[in-house]
Amino acid sequence: MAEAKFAVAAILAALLCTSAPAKAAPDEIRVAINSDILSTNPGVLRDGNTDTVLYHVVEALVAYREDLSVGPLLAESVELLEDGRLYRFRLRAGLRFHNGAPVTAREVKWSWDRMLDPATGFRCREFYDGRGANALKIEAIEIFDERTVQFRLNQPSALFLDRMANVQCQTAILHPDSVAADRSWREPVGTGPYRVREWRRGESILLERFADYVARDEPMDGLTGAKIAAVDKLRFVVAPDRMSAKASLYAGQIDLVFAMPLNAVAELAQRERNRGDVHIHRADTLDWTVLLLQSNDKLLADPRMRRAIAHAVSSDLVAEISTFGLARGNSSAVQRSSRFHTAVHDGWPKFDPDEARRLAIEAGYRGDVLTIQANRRFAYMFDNAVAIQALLTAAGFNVRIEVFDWATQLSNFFAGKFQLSSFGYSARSHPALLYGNFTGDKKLRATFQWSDPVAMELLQQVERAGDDATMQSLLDQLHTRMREQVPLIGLYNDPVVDLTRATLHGYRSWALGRPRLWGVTKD
Amino acid sequence: MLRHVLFRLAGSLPTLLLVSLLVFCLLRLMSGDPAALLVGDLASAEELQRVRAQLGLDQPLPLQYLAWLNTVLHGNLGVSLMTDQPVLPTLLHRFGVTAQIVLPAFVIAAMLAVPAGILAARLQGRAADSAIVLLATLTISMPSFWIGMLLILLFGVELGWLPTMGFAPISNGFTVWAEHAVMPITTLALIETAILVRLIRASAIEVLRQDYVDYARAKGLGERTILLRHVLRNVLSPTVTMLGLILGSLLSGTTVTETLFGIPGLGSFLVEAIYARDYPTIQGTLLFVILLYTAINLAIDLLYPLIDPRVRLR
Repeated sequence: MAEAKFAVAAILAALLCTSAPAKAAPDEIRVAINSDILSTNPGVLRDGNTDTVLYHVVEALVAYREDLSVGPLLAESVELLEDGRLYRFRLRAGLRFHNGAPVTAREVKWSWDRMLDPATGFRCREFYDGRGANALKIEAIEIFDERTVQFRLNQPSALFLDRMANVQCQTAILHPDSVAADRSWREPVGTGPYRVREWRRGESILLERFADYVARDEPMDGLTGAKIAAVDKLRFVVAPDRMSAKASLYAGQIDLVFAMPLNAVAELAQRERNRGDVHIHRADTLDWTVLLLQSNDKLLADPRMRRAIAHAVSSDLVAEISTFGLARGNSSAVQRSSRFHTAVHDGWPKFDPDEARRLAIEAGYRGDVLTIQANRRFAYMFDNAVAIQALLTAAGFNVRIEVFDWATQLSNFFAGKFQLSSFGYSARSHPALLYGNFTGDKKLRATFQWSDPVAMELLQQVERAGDDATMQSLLDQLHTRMREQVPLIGLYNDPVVDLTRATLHGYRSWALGRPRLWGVTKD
Repeated sequence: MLRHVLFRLAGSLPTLLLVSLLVFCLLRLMSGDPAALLVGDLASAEELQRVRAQLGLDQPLPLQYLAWLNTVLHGNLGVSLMTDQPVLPTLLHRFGVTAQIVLPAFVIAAMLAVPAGILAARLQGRAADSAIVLLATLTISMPSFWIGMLLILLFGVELGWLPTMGFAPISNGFTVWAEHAVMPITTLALIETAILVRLIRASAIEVLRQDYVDYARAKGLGERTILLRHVLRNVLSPTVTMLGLILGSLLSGTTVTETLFGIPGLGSFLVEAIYARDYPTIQGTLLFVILLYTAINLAIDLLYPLIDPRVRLR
């Protein structure tokens, strides 16, 4: 008992002796992430949090600008030669890796050869090896001179740079010291404004400023431009519960919580108004939530039935309900924030329950149960399913929701085992890449939702589109055709709401929905 | 004693083997493909198949089981599908974190619950008993996440005394550990104390009604002596059993508390693995949990003869 008393006394004494817990220091920005990163190996063992941390550490030849066009990053210039089949990249002068070695064309080629080696497990290899959309293939990567490297493609491609800039893939240019002698992964020796200092698995990952970083001259622009590390350290802290993370931010122990639950926005806004110690940042992302319609299903094989469902589901209403009024409906795969989203892309079978009923009866619908798959891991998918169920029921359909965990729903998606599925496509910078995700021969891939030969042909033309006007025309045609055939029902582009301490300056949410911490200062 | 321990450990081997087989089969019956979760919506069905092959998931199930069993026999529990890291070191690290929260909570709960339960039984029907029962009932009725959130809001946000989340191992220094651990420990201790108080009170009331207690009183023994020598000793047997179960349950993970306070413990480790269908991690963790329960049960069995001389080890 005496020992126990001593222990209790010791704990109390320790607590009394300690001052208040350390607030995040001015030279360190603390960011809450909801799960630990999977690895430091970009584009290989990855998820959203891994990408977010690593794009502060590694860089590609090109990157997205704020307007989602692609601009040079490590490259000084990009030349298109041989009718768009040869891309030549000139590297900026003076670039250094985190280990001090200069960045040359050799490391660019080494990095790309490694990515394209099947043994690496690079997630986006099929974008470049002829197995992906439009069978695009890198035929050769050639060192032109010390600072110039060129990629020879099997066909002209207007989307090559967009694929190269893809955040999920992170086509990072790395120093060979990143891997061990047996080619196993060691650590990212990249070129970014920060480098990895310490990773405490399950707890946090600490990045420190790379003193020799050579920033671009242009102002910060998306993931390119001047990426100035304004604070010495970035610490990504694993905080699985968003509400605890929010409490930590209120307590001054966290500086940024990104992707807050949308149902918390009203409370956050009140705090911002009343106390002024936090700021809310909001943006529409490129993530696209949809209702998948299984065209192999007996009922849904009939386009009239799919159109009937489209008439019964108002994407604006679903967006209103699921996002607490933060998003507008978007039935087009061309994202609202895309420069290609014109009035054409607002066209869709209008919300008309009577027409829905008429078409459904015409298609032979006799009150059969329609089943929507959903999950609770991604709350918006469940919320969308509930809103859709209500709308369909109101139009006379018999609908039930089947709730799975995410792993099961995703496996069903890959196997095509669903009738209706409340789903979401992660951000694709270019609408054509999103179309490429769901357009193709269903007999070859169950994940393709739209097996229309004309659409597939249009998509191939998009790959070769030489200018924006052609691209616009092709995307308009794709949407017009999609509006007629309704292979799936687009709902809305996810809004993102980030919360920062008022002491953080220069932070902006943006369309990719993930934070960028360069250029951000702290009082 | 040593023979008994060795006999019990040997006896648990078939159980472990059976349970490992059961866990393996149940996991494979669950739908959801770890490879699909790894590649997300980025890749094609061909790429998915390639990743499945890379992870060995295209092998026949008996072969997958034998391969995993082989890794267990070599003492490493395999490699995580999600992080490509060996399971065992991560698991032991996570267990260490959980233990640093759970053990103090457990000790505090036991220290509070035993006297409170016996006191409530002794004063059954009086105001003190009602107060203890009311407090215990109230605490049991509150979900742990709610208690934790209240503590966070009060001590972390409003008063700013304690870190709202995170964990610091005791090797970083007692003070920094205590700062981070005090709220999760309090959350767990409150709940477990409430459960134990009710159990001990019920057992003590039962014992207090026994003839030998009346006899002790008739002999003129003091109330303190009766409680300590006769009541407590007889209450301890069922209490120790319950303590063993509680300790096993706590050590195998306190997911809600860990999630709330951002503690990288065993519970959250297992839940993340289940979400990710990380088979080697789930199987390894469950095997470890079973071993843990076996060890705790064995320790409890060894304790019985010390508490109750009527119990003998065979």
